[in-house]
Amino acid sequence: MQEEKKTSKNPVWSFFSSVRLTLFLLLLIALAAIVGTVIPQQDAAGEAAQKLPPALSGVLKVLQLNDLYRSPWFLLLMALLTVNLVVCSLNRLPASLRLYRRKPEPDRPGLYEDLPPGQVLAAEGTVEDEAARMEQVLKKALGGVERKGTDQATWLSGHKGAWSYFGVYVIHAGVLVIILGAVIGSLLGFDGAVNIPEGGSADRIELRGGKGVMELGFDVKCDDFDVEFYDSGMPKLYRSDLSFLKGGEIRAKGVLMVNHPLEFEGIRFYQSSYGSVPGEAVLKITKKGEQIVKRARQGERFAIDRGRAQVEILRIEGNLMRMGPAVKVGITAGDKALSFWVFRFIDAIEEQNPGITKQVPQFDAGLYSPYRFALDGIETSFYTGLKVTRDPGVPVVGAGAFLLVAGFLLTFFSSHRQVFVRLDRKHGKTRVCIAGRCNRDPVKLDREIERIIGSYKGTT
Amino acid sequence: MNTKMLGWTTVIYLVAMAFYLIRLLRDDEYWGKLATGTALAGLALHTAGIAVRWWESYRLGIGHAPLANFYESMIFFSWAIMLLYLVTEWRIRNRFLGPFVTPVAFLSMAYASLSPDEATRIQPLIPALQSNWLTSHVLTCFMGYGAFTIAFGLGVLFFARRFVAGSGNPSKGRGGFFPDEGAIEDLIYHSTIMGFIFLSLGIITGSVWADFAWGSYWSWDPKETWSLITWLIYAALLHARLIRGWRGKRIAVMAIAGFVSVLFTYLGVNYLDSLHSYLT
Repeated sequence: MQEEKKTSKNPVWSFFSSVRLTLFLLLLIALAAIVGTVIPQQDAAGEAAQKLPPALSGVLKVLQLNDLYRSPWFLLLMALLTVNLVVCSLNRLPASLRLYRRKPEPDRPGLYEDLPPGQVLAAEGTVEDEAARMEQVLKKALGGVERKGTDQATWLSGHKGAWSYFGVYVIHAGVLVIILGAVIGSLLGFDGAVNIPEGGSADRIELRGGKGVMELGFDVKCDDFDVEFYDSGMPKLYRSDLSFLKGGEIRAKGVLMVNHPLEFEGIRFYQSSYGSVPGEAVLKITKKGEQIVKRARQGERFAIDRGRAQVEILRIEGNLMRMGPAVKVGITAGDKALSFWVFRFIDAIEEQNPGITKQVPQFDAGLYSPYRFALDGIETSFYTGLKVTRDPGVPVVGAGAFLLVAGFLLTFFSSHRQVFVRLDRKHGKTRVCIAGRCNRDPVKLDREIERIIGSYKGTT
Repeated sequence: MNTKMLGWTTVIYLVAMAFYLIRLLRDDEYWGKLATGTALAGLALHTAGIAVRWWESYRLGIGHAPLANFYESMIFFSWAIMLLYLVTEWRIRNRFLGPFVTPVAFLSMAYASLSPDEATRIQPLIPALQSNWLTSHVLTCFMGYGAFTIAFGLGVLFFARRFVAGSGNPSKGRGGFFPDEGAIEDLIYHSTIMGFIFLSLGIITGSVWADFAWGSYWSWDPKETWSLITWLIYAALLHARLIRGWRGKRIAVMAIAGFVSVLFTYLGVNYLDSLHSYLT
């Protein structure tokens, strides 16, 4: 198939109908994509930029090479390819339609010249009888047969796989549908992340690429998070038990694992990371030998001194100034307000720095006398890192992929095979000449003809 | 057990490669038959080795297809090349391609066998790989790589033929030992179609998997991007031949360029920061 030279009056149309442009765009997009894999993209770009000379990172910024795949110029290349694809396909479609509709011409001159000897047979019956037999064979092999006759000869023809002319359009339609799905996804979808501590919940997520915060319209609660390891230390399982709540009421529950996302109200949740944060602090508060134990998270409050004083946990630190776990406590009693740090290993700190609690009142856990605070420990709690997305383009992309594969099968595994037969009298016998034509895959045509000749001989 | 079998496979492939070379140099089909027999024996042992490795993983209680790390991928790459090569040899009923393809299969096996012991041991799957899509994704990708390797071998053969015979189509002399340029190019075209379909299926299965595992069917991860680059190069080859009527040398050059991109997709990406990095 050579490119049809069409003289179109519209220069824009003829520009976009060029396959040379297609090749140029395919290779240019490939080249741009290569650049994008070498230069750090998006989040990684910021770190890398600090190591580069300012002039170079300026150039990267101007050309948007740090977010190449979303940059206007890359999208422009994609858009040009899309237009090129549409125009080329529309341009060639009429020719394919003509081929598809073309009537077979079994009496075309030259068709039966230079046939291999096996495809010219001599039969005993009359032309009429042999034609009737051959007609049955062709009907069975190709699903249909046409007949044409004159005084000199009878012609039969049949064909199969004319649909194969359209395979390439199905492939191109598949590519276009995939691009459409990607556009739908980028316009109507979102992509964000949220970390939820075990036992905690979240009602908003952070959108990717610094696009702000989005309200979910419901609460996601992490009831439990588990991580398991193999003996080798490799991770075996990450698992979050999630509940979805609306108006404080549980609407759905589910187990989230890698490769097993959860969906609620059209929004999908993925297990993407995890981590640990300081959880509840365990405080021992003593007054003249009387001891109470309180557990509290950062930001929580409780009362002591018969309700006269309010204690708030201002900060929880796993390792404060390399002196171990510490909790900053704020106390308000009437119009008096004070705050101080409570260290887990205060005895060891005092031993190394004698008198420190006197010099630095902030480190004096007995500042609100006669109460004295001690930190018994900080429980670490896990948080689960979720990726949160909605992409209404996914089914569209899936449909495009399906079309693509179907188009491949039509284009590469089917062909239009036409078989022509001429029957006439020669040397007192009926001469049967069998010829074939195909748009591709001549081997398949040869086998088809072999089969036809075999079953024709078999019916004698 | 399985690593021993795969080790012997490597040796057998080396022998088959030598037989194919002798056949080429001495122009004697006796060596060709020996080469094919050896290659078939190698492939049989190779298949058994992979099957045993699969079975052993189930005995260890961590059953999964042996397609889960770099070592296993190289073993499978080599297997795909040999399978596709022998099918091609059988279909075209000619052994001229042997000396150009078997070295790639051998090198892949040999490089795999140099892996440290730890890498050759059967490992359990990390959470990201615990998916039914693992097998179909890796299978389709590497069948594609294998078919592109055949096209590459043919591309090299195209130029080797020109080197010994000039650019004509002589019926005599050493060049005549190879098929003519048109036939080579036609084979390049057909292997490319095979590879292109498998690569497309590999990208599609990978996208479906990524949508389940990473929450996005396409993330412009370097491996994804390079697979797209490879896809674009071969798409350009197919269009150039079908529509622009490119023939011969240009097609052979594109088949070789495409294979460089395949190698980069497979190996080079390991040096970039990638979500696929567990394959190293």
